[in-house]
Amino acid sequence: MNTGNNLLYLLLGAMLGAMGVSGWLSERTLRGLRVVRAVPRGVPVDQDFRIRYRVTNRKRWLSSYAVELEEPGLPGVAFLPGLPAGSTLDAHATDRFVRRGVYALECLTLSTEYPFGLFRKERDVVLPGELVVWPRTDRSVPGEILGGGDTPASSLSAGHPASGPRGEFRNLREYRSGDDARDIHWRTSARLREPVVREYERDASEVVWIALHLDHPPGADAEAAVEVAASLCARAAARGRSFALTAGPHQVEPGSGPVHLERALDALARADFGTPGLPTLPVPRDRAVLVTPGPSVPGFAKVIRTGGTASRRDAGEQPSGGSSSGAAA
Amino acid sequence: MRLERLHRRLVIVLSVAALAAFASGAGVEPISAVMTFLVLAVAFFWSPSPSVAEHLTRLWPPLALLLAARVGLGLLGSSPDVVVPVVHLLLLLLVSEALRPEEALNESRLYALTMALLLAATAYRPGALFGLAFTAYVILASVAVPIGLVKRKVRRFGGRAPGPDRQFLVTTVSLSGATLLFAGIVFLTFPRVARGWSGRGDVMATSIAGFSDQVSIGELGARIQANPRVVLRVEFPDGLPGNFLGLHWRGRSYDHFDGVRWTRSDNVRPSRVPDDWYQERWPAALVRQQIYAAPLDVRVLFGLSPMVAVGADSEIYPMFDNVGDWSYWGSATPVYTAVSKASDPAPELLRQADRSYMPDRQRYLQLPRMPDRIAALADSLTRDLENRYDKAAAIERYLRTQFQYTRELPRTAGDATLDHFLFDRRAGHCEYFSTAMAVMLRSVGIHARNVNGFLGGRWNEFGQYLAVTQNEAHSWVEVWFPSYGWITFDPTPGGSGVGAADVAWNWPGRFWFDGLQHRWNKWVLDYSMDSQLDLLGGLTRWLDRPGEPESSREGPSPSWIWIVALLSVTLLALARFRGGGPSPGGVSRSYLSLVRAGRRAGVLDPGPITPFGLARTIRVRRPEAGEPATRAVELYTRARFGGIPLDPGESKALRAAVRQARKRLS
Amino acid sequence: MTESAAIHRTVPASGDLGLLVSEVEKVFHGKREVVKLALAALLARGHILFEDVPGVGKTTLSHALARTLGLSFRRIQFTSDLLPSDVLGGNVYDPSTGTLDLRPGPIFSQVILADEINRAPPRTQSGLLQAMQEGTVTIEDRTLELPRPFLVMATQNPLEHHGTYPLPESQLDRFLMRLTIGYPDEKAERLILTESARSRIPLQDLRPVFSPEDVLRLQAQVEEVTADESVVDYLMEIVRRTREAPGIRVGVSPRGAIALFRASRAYALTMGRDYLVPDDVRDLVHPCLAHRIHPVGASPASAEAHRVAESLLDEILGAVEVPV
Repeated sequence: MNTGNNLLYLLLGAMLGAMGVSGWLSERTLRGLRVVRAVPRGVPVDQDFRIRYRVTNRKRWLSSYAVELEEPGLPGVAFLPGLPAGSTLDAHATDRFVRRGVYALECLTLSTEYPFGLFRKERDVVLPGELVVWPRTDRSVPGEILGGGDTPASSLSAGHPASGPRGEFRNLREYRSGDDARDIHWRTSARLREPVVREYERDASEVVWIALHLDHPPGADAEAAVEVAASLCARAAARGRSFALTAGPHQVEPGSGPVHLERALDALARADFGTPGLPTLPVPRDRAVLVTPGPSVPGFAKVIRTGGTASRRDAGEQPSGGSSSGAAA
Repeated sequence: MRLERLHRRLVIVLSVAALAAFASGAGVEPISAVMTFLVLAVAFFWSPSPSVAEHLTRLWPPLALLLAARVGLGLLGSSPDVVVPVVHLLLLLLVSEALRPEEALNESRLYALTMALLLAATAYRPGALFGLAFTAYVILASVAVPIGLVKRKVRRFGGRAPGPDRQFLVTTVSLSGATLLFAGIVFLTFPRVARGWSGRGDVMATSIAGFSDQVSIGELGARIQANPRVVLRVEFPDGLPGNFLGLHWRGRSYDHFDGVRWTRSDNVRPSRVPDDWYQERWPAALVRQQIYAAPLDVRVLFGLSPMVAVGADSEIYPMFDNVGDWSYWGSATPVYTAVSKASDPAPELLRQADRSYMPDRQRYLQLPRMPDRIAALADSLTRDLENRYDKAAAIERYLRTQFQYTRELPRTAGDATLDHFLFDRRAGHCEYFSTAMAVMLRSVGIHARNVNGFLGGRWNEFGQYLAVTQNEAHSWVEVWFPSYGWITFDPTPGGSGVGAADVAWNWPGRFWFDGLQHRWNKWVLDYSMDSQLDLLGGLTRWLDRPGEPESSREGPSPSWIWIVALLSVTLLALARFRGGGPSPGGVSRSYLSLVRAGRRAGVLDPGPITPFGLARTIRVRRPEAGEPATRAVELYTRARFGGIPLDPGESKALRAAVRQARKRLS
Repeated sequence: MTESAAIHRTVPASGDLGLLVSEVEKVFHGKREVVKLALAALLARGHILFEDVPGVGKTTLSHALARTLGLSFRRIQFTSDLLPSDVLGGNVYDPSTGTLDLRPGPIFSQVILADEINRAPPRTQSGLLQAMQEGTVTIEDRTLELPRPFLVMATQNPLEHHGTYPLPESQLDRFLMRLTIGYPDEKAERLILTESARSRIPLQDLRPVFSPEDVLRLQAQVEEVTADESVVDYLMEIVRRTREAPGIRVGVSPRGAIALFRASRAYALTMGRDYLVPDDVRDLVHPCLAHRIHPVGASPASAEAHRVAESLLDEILGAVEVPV
């Protein structure tokens, strides 16, 4: 008994076959991929940055095509058109954060519509990581706190090699990124064939201690305080000053240079408001600058308040003078 | 850019494949299919620039409107066939999509249109060409669609598109292989229970020479030409009869002769043989014929005479009329099993045929006005003979021996008469012979009628069937014998036209293609629940008796079984390959089994583990398994990392240690 | 143990290495692993930094090691007023001859215990470290070769803060391994107490198992330890991940990778093997790498930084596939 149109069954079979095969192939496409994520050391708030994924196809003979990589919660998508078997390629996703902080990256979603675009196959790869978003450093701060002229803050760029005050010669040590090139001890460097710099004893009193007061509810004022503290650090670093920071449990010991600034920005990115108590300092209070979103605290050399009259700034606005009041104890 | 051009071309070739699939069913119509093909060919080499494309887009709406109007008219009733205008509309859309600029190619629309074409083709009864086009379509689609996807994604996200390298092609083409295989499996195994709707059937073969509804002695011969179109494909489930070249595939009988043509009278009184006669009085064995007929414009079921029973294998309803001819109704292509008596009753029996029931003498002794010398000739041939059989045999012998068979046609209408044939020309083709015999028999008072059908055929070894073509069209005579019924006599001298037919069959490829076509019809178009059961039955029979060689004419062809077997082996191998991981060496396999046993027993923490770390953990947490595990790990690390191969004894020791550790772990 | 002999390709003196470890264990209880690591550092021509509270037996270990290896031993207690010349030596005026004689400092010994190195001012520290690195000492204009084999075991007390000069990050790199001995377990501690009670220190009873020549030969043999490609890949993958992990500011330098490779091979030798297995690499990741990576946030070279570094390394080890 002929049951009608057999060719329809053939078409149906081909469609089912295509679906099955595409499901299998997209599954295989996402298998055997090893992803290594490289995030920047820290990213400034409100700036585009790129997350780089290095993807290795560990399959023996099957190439992967049209693979998309996404971080849940982030809008950026990295795309790999093709990844031959056994090869390694890079893909980038561009994102931007509008708030400072530490963002945990937990898993990464790999997806593909290959081969037919009929279905989207996804696979989550647990790939813990974190992104440190630094606060902005372009707030204007009273320059006299750092002493010296009020040179424009140039944040991270070490393009303003100010010669810091020097103490007694202490030691020779290996060159680290951020060291002043004028401190290089050329004779020893030539002998050891690697750069060596002179280290000087620094007068401890020259260290600018910056204390961020965290005993305050989070909010716009609190964020402003973080930005002021970050701007102070940046300014100090740009001038070659030695500075130290204390923000709740995060302490950054005295130091200078861009790498040191990054450490300070890391600490500030992690600062949580609502930590009770005054900042703890290893030096007397009268040698520190207090940045607080709340009321002024007596005993500090200087106090910068961002609460109350502080003007709020929206993202994207040109740096303008944040209100700050220096109050001597 | 290279990728885009490649993709565009692939899509266009894809459209051509779909068009070919459609044409294989609906036939090639000059103004639509050929034009579409030409436009696609142009589009393959040339893609219009955006400005030209803009001009072109203005062209489509009015054309589409025109076609839509035609569809509307069709629906209103001027032409019952709306499918053709709809297909024209489809083709127009296809052409308009193909003629877009390279950058603006809307591939998903093209995919949909080509798919629609394929669907439209299934409404017809496409030949084996459809199978080829369909295969090509699947292969092309498996390559084109992924390329299109990558292209689209690259356009969206940026990046450098990978060239369609060899590996890509290998992957996608094997993809299409898997798709086709899957399609085949679904096709074969999808349960066929419901009675579906019937297709439109094949294009009616009105203009084809050979068999037709009437037999006219002067005109019909004009159409006899070498026409190798296969009309019947016959399989003999019980074995091929020895004399297959002489088999008469009986079609229709004609009772009324007006001097030029034979026709069937209306309201014939029952003149068929009573049902029990064949069973009781014809002593011969039965022969079964499985017949796949091409649709003709006459709804006749052919078979060996006398057909005792007919069972339909397709959506047709066989019936016999009251003159004993088998016909059917239903629009499907007839596929049926006919059961016939293998041979006539012996002449002795026929000679003794007594006066029993006689059919209507008004019909079967009817004669047109004709020269007296024809009756005189008949009388002179039969005067001395006693019985019907001898008389009929005498006339038959006279025509067979004294006359020549020729395909050459009489030159003038005057030369085309029966009289001219019998007394002047003494040569002609089958209608002349059968007509002459029937007329002469009637003139001596013997009931006779003209019958047409096909004679013989050619055995197709490749397909294991007898192919009967239009070339084999033939006509002969049936004579009534009381108590027995209609007996076949063929007065045409031998070689009834096979010679000319051979020319057309000479191309072996054509013969092979017909075999392919037969299989296509049998296994695809007419695949049914019965075929499924057959397949299943064949499979179980084959499994039950694995030692016996498979009969090639019974059950499914063994290739299917091989495919199934091959498939299972492949699946098994795949599963094994996947389970075994990246094919580690022997020592690594032993070691991995130890690791797995440890994980199953919950001894190991998740995460990677080093060999000695494994041994240490087992020692600490399952001291009883610690000793063999340590021994296994030591042997393993030495062989794997130390590069010191194990000798056979050590290999055995390793396996034994792993076994022991696993036993103690579980 | 005949089976073990069949398993291990014969490593010269490998049995003696086991003997040596047992000998040291006579006086240094319950820390077989530390002894092996220290021995591996010596064989890899590296130096060790101990970071521990006082009194866990650093002196005992170094002294015992020196004795059983037949090496000369000197202990230098670093103090804030220690000058470079007190360590390296210097010219001393000899009144009898009226000339300046070069007097070598305590550094001219084969095993040196530099106790509480972070108490000395940076200049003195760097003098020692430079000598360690180069194997020579330059006094005035004369360059003197240090004896071979040469092993410095420096200690640093993690708890003291005032008046100390923590080693800078770059100097830490010069130590092949950084080890913590940790408190002994209960059984070992009981043994230590009873020994003290009998007031018998068996250090003098230790007999040399090796000669300095044996040590030099074993040091050369480290180079012959073979490493399968997959184990090298494993090592490199660990190193690579330290460079890309988000919690690590500065990953392992190529010098650090070389150190790990050398130390692993030496460690394999102390285990009586002449080939590397993944375990060797894994066991040496903490000692060799923890002081070479700088985690984000923690101040450098602090005890906290080391703790964070070790947990980060554990995370990496938990994610890298072990070759099979």
